[in-house]
Amino acid sequence: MPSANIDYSEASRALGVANDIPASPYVLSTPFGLSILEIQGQLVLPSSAPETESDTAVEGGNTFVKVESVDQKLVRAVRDAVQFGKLSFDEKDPSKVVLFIGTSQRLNGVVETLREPLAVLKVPSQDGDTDIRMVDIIYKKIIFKHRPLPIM
Amino acid sequence: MSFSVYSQIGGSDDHKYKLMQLPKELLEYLKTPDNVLEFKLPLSRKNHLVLCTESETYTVRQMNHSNTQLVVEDLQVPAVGRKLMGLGPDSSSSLLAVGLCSYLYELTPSLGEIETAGLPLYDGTAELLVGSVPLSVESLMQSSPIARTCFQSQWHALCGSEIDGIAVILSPDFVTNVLYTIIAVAIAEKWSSFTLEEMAPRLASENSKFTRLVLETIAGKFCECKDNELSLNRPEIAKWFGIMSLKKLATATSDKDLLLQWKSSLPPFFNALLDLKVLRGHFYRPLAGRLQYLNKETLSPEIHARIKDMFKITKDWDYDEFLPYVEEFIPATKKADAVILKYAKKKRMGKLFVVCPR
Repeated sequence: MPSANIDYSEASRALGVANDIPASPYVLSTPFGLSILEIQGQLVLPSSAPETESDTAVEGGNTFVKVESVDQKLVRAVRDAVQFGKLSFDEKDPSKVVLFIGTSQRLNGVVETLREPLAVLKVPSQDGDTDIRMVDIIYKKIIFKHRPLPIM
Repeated sequence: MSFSVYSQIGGSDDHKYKLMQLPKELLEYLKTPDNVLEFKLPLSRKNHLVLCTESETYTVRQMNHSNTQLVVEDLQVPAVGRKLMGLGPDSSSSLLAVGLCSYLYELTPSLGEIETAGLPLYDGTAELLVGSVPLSVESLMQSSPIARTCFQSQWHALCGSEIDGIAVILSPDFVTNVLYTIIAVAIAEKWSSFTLEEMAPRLASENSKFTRLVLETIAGKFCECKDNELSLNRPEIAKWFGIMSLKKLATATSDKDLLLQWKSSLPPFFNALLDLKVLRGHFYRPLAGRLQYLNKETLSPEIHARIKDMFKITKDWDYDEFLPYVEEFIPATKKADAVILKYAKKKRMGKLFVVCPR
């Protein structure tokens, strides 16, 4: 019977440190830096970045950047990313959030506590020696339940 | 406070992010590192995935949704190990979407099950073991979608044992013989309770096939254990002999005759309360006042087809005798009637409720 081990050492560590870190006024990410952002419907984003040597580029109204990452084995990788919005917390009530998309649309959202925490699994795309890793545990998500509104 | 939100283009080729709901017990379990946690994909059922811990089994269900659910990294947090190039210090208040999840894994606690298909049936003769694929109990446990600590009790409940290093299911007649001998020895020795060490040599002296492992299986199924002392579970033993008496019926028999046969099948001097109610789920009534054995395993594994099969056998079922045959399909959150009435009609006949086709 096929089976796959789950290495949950990182999630276990996250559970341990979660209590040691003082709560931020903006409840956004876990101590390991992850969070969930949920938008009703589909978010259409460019599938490729313009070919350029520069770290940033603007094309068709989209801002493209390059992201440098270093993994656990200290292997450096550079990937493309596109900016799709600006997330702004209400200063009086940090549970209220606005996501501005481009220059014409905004989404009103809230920070919601999940009924059951969610484990984030990092599943290898191909079968191999690598275990599935449970990398973090998330308790809250930022959710946008309504249709986009125009920016006046 | 505001953040620029970015999405990685193309995602990562070597892994995918998936989200899984964590029930309270599992969250507690994760606090202790280096325990067993694994996904198992049983071959006996299609699209069935389970998650096993050391002591719990969960059925995994994929809940699809149409929202855009992004796993985002806060680049301010050093643990993330990523930074935007060419944006200077401003890049710190940025979020980067690294994974898109179109479904969640929902976990439901379950009992787990042992894959018994293909296991040899052992009736005391070694010949039956020849030709079967040898599988040890340890390998069987690893290949079954069940938590390790729940395996043993369920294995014994199925009359599973190990003969010459091979996992086998003990045949009902063999189980009856061993049980009969255990009861006879306990009565002869005037033991109200006993240990495995006391019983094993006495049992082996009666029959060399009645090994220590066989005794452990029978004791696991028919004895209650307290401080290493075993005492006979009389209601469970009586039920076993009742089912065996039902199986031996060639034709439909009256309740009174079955009770007589049941009583005479018990070992001498073994007293237990005999009540037909405990045999519900093992018989049907082809005629009023007469009953006959009906094996649940011969019916369809799907509720609608199973109820159809049951009405083909007989049209009117006593509600209490009908229920045990469909109980496994009734979710814990629903009332039995809410499920049964979708496929059948329930009517009152005097003091009884009867289930019949719609």
